[in-house]
Amino acid sequence: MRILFSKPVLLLFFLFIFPLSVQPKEEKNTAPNFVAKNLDGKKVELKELLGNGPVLVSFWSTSCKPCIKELNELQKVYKKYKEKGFEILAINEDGPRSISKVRPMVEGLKWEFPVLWDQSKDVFRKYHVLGIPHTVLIDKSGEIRYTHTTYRPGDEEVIKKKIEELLDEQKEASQEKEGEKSEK
Amino acid sequence: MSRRRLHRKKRGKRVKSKIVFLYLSFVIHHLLFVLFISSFVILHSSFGQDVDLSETDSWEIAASNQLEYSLNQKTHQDIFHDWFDFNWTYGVYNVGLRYEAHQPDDWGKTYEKLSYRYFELSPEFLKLTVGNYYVMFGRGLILRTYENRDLRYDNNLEGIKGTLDLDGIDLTLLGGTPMGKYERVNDPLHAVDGKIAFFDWMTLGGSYLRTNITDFGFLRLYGGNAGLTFPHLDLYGEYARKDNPSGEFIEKDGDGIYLSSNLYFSGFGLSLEYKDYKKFDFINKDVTYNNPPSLTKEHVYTLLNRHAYVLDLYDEKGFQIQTTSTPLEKLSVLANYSSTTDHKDKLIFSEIYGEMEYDYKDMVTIKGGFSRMENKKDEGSPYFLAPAFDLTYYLSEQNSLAFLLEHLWTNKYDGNLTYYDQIISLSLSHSPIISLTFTHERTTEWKTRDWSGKKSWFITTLDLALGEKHNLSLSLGSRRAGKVCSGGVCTDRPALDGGEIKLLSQF
Repeated sequence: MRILFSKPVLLLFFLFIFPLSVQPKEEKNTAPNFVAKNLDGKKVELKELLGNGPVLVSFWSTSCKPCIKELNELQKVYKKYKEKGFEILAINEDGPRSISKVRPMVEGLKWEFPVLWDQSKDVFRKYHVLGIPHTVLIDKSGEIRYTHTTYRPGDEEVIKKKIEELLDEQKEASQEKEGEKSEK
Repeated sequence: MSRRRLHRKKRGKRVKSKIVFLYLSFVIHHLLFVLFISSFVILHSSFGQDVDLSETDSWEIAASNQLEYSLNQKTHQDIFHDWFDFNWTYGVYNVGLRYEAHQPDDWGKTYEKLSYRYFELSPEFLKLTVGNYYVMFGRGLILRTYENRDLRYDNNLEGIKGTLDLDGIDLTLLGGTPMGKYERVNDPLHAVDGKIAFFDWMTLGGSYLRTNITDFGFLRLYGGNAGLTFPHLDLYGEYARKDNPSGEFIEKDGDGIYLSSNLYFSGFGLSLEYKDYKKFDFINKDVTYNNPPSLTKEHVYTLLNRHAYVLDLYDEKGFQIQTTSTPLEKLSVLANYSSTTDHKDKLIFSEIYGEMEYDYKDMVTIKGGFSRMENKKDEGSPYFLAPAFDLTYYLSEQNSLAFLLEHLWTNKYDGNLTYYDQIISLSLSHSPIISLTFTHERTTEWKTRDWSGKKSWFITTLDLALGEKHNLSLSLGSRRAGKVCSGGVCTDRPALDGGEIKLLSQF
């Protein structure tokens, strides 16, 4: 039994066998719903926002420089697409040490998207966030379409393309619906 | 008053407080039971009313794995760490567990175990957790349990927690045993925390915690907090007390105060905080269960982070002021000043830090930072001067080149010992797939004392995104040992001289 938990066996299992055997699912990968409070103490529920368009959930903290870099870039993306129903939810993981700096930072850096508290890290655990920045792009139907951990300059371009794809899909779907209606 | 009367009075007080503690424990247990039953009643009535649960009755399985493996080429010692998290959600039910393996851990102990498991029920505005959980009351003055894997820190509670979240009213009741440094401590604690929002702009809250620590006695912490939110301004204040058991060799009761005010407009934010902690550490078996704000700048630069201030809840007070602003569209500025003294007004720690970041035509991002830090608690009462320079050049939309320079000049024993440490790093990255980083560190500390160790370190790191679900990091070379800090809590990271693999996977 002891050999099962030995270093080589565990290493082999977690490094190769396990990741390779569990392939990304082909079927719909539904985003877990969550309720969290925004900086004004109002509850925000993911499910309620999804009907309007794609939602990008970004996990961050004030001490994470790549997160701030990424959110600065995402602010530009948000400005461009928010009229089309795109939404960003920035989930904050600051502890008591830096919690009071969140709001001044959000205002100081002119971020317009909602920032939500997750002090007990419930949302972090629901999304199995292992490192920040962690980004999850969810389409209108609640399906996770893209996930990404860490930030490299230029990642916002990839996200931008994914959002454009989703918005195009959305547009096509609504045109199809309208077409069906007019045919009827 | 005669000694006997005084003793009798003290004993009477102790007996009385024990009765109050037992009564409160009884009340908390019953309230938790009521919460448990009511959540089932709500669930039952929801089904009874044929509520459409089509969106919530599908089940979901999610898992993640974090693996770290390093091999030291000289000592041939290898270290293996793994955390596997799994959770299963079915509508309002959620079951999860974490399997951990450390061969060995940072203290040389080899083990594997199911370190975290829970069952959660969250109908409507109630949430009930049975098993392991994390919790924070207010700003952590009374209780904060959390996990930080970088620090190898986890002080979760095991027991039962009930949370009621109505519009304007939040209530948490809990009972559980804390996780000590090496194993679970069988000293149950019971606590209640509540917050009421009287208006949109005002909240009032309070917390109460009691525990019976083996070989110490009954300990209780209690306090209140208030928050006010106005347009462009918010204020928060919290006061808490710690009552120790009475006894000849037990120190006096302690208390803690935390105040904060934030002023913000579009493009400008100012935060001002004050702390005063006196005999306020809530410790059981080497683990601290309250973690209030430490009011010092949290650095991400490696060299500055190694000298971060370690919170001392026994005797300190101080303040921190920080501004964040974007005076120009492409320019952001951050300034921070913090000072901590003991209760005799003797300076313990102070730091002045400034940082500026500028985006030039979306082609180059230039960042410069400077810190002057003084830490009277460390050996030799050092002060540090630390400039940092960070440049990212965008070769194309997806390709970039980043250069980082960190320099830390140290002055100890009033100038009798001076030396510097320096890190230079160059990183090439192709978003979102790959980045390659070369990091060189050197120190001149060896010139100042007998030195048998290394004088410079060089490490190459390859970060690779394997699809969307896996992130692999491979490092080869040597990395200096040093403190890693977060939230006033630090741990010593061992040196590396060989190879390291890190794999983060989500399923």
